[in-house]
Amino acid sequence: MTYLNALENELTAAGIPGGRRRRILAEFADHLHEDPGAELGPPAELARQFADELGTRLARKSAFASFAALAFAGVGLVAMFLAAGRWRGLSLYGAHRQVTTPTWTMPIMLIVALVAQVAFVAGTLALLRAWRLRHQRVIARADAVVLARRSAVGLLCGAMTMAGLPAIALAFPHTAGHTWTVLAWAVAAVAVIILASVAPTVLASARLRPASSGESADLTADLGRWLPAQLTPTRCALLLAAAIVAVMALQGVVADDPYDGIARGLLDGAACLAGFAVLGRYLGLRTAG
Amino acid sequence: MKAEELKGHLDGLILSVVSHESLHGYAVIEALKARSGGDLALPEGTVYPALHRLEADGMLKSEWSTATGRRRRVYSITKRGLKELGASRERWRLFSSTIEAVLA
Repeated sequence: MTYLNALENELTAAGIPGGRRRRILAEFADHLHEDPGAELGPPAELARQFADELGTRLARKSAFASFAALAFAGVGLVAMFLAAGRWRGLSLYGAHRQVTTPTWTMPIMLIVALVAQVAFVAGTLALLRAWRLRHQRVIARADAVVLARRSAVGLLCGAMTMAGLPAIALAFPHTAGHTWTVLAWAVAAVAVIILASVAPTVLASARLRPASSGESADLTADLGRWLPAQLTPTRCALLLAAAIVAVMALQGVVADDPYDGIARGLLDGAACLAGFAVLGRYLGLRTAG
Repeated sequence: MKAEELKGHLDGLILSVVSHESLHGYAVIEALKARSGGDLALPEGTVYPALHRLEADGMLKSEWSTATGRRRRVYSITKRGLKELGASRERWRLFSSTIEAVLA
């Protein structure tokens, strides 16, 4: 087996994509043509270096791009709900009481409310981790895995949320009105296209990961600057859930419907804790220890 | 000079040699050797991952050229690369003067 064959095998094993692999091999072939006795180093070590250098950059890029796409989708979603609330009296929780809707409306709206929050949290945490690691030349493979997972979950939940917009328009055809319905389809389509355009980068980062070992930190490291010392990820989740209950109960009081506010707050707070329990380890919010 | 001692300085060294003229990978390594009087004992292959990363970070750009029937990737510095080179030189001046002050 020649040196170039061995290098090709190692680059393939390290997840270096075909185009990049061919380019690297062409450069090394040129080098060996100039100096057949060149000491280029062990192929496995070189492949690891390429994976470290390129995988690190790709992981950060996928996180930043995912957050940017989610931010666009989020602005579109909020604008649509503000427009609905102002023009048509349509609101996420209240409209189903005022008009007759299909039976699937409530589950769909609950799912939209849930995945929207998961998308927001996953996208924001991807940004925080990528920002914290922005100056590191090489990040640990474990951190790259967390970045890819957060980005992927954010994009998936973001796309599901935006797909819910036309569903809401279909559920409330008379309340939403023609203009809102057309805008809902248009905003959802553009947002889903933008979110989908980031997916190849996230998939590439899942394939090409740094080889460096090392532990991935938890949520407290991502939020370190804003957190009191000794606060554990579980306590963070409990505090957030309590804050959600308090804010939504307060909203209920302001809206003259405190019981509804408390009920929604408890539901959302429970969903927050359930999300932490189910996705916490997968998204790197808490570690195995 | 050992490869371990070059850690953290390789980017600046590469940007410096490429800032003078566009070079392909082998020529970059030869230029590093020539400008150091042969003292940079760098495993030659390790320069290529750095070249790819610097390009991905927008500090270098590259294109294929053909020389004596062979295709080779030629690298040149970008505006961002020049800016980073200036910062790298400044960091080195500060570092070396600090160490010099302690060791002298």
